[in-house]
Amino acid sequence: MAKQPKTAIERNARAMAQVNGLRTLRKGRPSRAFLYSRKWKKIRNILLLILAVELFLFSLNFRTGANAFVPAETYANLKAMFRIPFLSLFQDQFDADALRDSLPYYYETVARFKLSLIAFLSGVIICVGGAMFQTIFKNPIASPNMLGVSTGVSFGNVLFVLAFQLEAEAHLPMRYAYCYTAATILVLIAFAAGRLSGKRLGQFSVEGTIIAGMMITQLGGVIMQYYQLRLQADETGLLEIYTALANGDVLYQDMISMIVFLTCSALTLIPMFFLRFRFNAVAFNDMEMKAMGVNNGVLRATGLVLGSLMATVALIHCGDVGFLCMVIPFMFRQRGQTEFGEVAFLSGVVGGTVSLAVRIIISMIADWGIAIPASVITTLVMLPMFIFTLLRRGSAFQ
Amino acid sequence: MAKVNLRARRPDANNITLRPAEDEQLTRLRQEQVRRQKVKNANRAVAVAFILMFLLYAFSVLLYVVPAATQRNLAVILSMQQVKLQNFLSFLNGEKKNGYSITLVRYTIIVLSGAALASAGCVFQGSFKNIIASPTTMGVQAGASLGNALYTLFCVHVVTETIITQNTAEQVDSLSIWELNKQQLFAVAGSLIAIWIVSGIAALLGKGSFSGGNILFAGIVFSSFTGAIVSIIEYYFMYMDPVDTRWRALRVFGMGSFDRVITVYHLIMMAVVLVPCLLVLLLISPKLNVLVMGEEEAATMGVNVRFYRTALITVGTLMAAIVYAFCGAIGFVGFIVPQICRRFTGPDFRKLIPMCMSVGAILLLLVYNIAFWFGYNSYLNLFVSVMGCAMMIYSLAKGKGGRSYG
Repeated sequence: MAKQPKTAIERNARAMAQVNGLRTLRKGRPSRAFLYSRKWKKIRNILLLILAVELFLFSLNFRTGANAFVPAETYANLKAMFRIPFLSLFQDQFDADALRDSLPYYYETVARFKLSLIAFLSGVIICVGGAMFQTIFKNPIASPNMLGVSTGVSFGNVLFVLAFQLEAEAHLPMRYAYCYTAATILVLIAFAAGRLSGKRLGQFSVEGTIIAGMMITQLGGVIMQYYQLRLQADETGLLEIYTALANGDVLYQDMISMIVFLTCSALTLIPMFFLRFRFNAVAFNDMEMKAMGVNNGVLRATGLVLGSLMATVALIHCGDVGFLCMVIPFMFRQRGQTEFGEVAFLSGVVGGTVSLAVRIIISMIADWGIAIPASVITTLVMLPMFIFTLLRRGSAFQ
Repeated sequence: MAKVNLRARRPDANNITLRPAEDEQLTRLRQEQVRRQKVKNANRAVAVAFILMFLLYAFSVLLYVVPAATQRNLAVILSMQQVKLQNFLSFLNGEKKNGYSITLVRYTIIVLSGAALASAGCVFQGSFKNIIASPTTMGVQAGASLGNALYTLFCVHVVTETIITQNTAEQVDSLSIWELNKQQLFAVAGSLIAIWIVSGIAALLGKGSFSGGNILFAGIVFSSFTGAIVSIIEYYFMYMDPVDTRWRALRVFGMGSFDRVITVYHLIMMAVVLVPCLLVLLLISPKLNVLVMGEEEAATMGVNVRFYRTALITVGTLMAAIVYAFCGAIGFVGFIVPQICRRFTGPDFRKLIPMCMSVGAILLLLVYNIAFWFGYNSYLNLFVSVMGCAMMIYSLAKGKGGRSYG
């Protein structure tokens, strides 16, 4: 049973809140009644299913490829990976290198673990960002990669390759600076266009933003095509470096990349977790938000910044998986989920799973000698599901 | 009633203020005068645009445009100019083999393509009642590139990069019509199927009506899907044979160029489709004015909405597809030009479509000459896209973009 309100004022407030749909704004854990409800059982079953798929994919990650590891070996290697930092801290005469070298395939197992971590977390992040953008814009097209983030990332890659030429791989940390800066600038341009095209000064136009983002994306596509054609004529090997960076067929797992990746993920996911109830208010219009006592401008700006940063992190570290963030939150909304926390959580988990599966497919294909970019596989995997969803129901948001 | 001197003050067509005290007849007279002034302005704009187009065409054909590779000093330019004029005169006298026909054919094709792309964009914007509908955003271009990729995959077995879209003069003499135009047929079929799918998805989403967001949505999804298929074909080529440069041909298609459409045969093949389509558009353009008012209103006025809309979209798609098939993807002309023209002529399609044709031709002529000067004539799409993007941001900032039609 839920906790009963004590005073009359509290009772009144709760009644008002329920009428206005404000209940979701209140922070709090689910009540015990909810845990026995049919809805929770349904969600629990879905989650258990996804967890099983996740474990399967995670173990598959170590079994594919040229070297298929035995599960016992993998277990020993992963155990050592987690133990080594603690042992080297607390034992004086501990020789970490000896332990590493004694285990067969230690380095490759760790590399694959990091790879699956990057793939899973990128999928989670980009789908949560997509759910955020769709809530703010109330429009399924408004995904972060449509607003110029993907173009910004590829511009960043181009500038990085142009600046460092053949030594590009040695200066990897600078790549993140280039990519994040370029993506930020292009997203700001799209938002500025949206702001300028509002009916009154200071009013934000969603369509204007989307059109500006779409134009930037198209233009970026043409420029990248031109750049690749020119590089191919040069034949100095720059094209290979650029392709590897842009497609994400090499996931960089060195120390600095992992630190940048994990820091940015934490910076975006943790505020999102704490604000998950509050973001429901974004679905109302400005006047209603003000009436509920929510500062609409700040909340919306926070959402936009977090969403853009999420997409940027995922696209930089995992290659172009932008189609995910358009489709997966849209599918959950079509199924009737409206609460932001639920949509974000479910689409994050499913997005992570799909991203991991895509990564495994790519590594399987890579064993045959072709490096296919993540975007191609993502589109081909997601499109049938997407069309099925569209056919089942009409448009959401209308 | 006192005699009104209408010529006393020249009324400004855009900004006229009527005093309430003036009697009704005067008000009507003034309104009529403003309307006539607007029509006159629009007619004048169309006439000026056509004259400009002919002048630019004549200049492009007669003047020597310096390519990027040559040395740019005055003596060389003047001597080359002299050679070009001599070639022109001898061409008029019946000398066919001095290379002048290449220039003539190429610039004629540029004029035709510009007119076709711009008026196709105009027709799309009118029939979908949306300012962002254009061959590029609606997936016609993506469909053409998919058709081209499928052709390259199934019908081309030569491992070179010269197979793209265009044939040399020797091939034109030796091959049959079917062999010459297989690729163009694939591209046109791809475009027609694309517009069918995209408008179908948009209608499905909007439950019968076309809203801007749905068109954009369907276009984006379709374009990303075709992009994925095309890149899979590219990777297949690379994987099967590293020496194979067919994948490069697919990328060159995406950049757009007029460098290889140089024989009279190409001109004839394009003109056979484009000229009738342009004439048909001019004939049925008054119906577009009625269609824009809304389906029910148009049906009440006795217009067969379904027939005219289908006909207009098919004609528009066909024109854009022919240009894409012969010259590669040249995006955004159909998007920029109607936006510019609408400021001069207003929303009346009887004026707007001729205006779009001439301004589209002017735009492509300018772009081609500038690109030729800088040595980028094989990458026309780059130039046009940069212009389109700048134009879009400008029109958004002006507050006229994307929200409504007209």
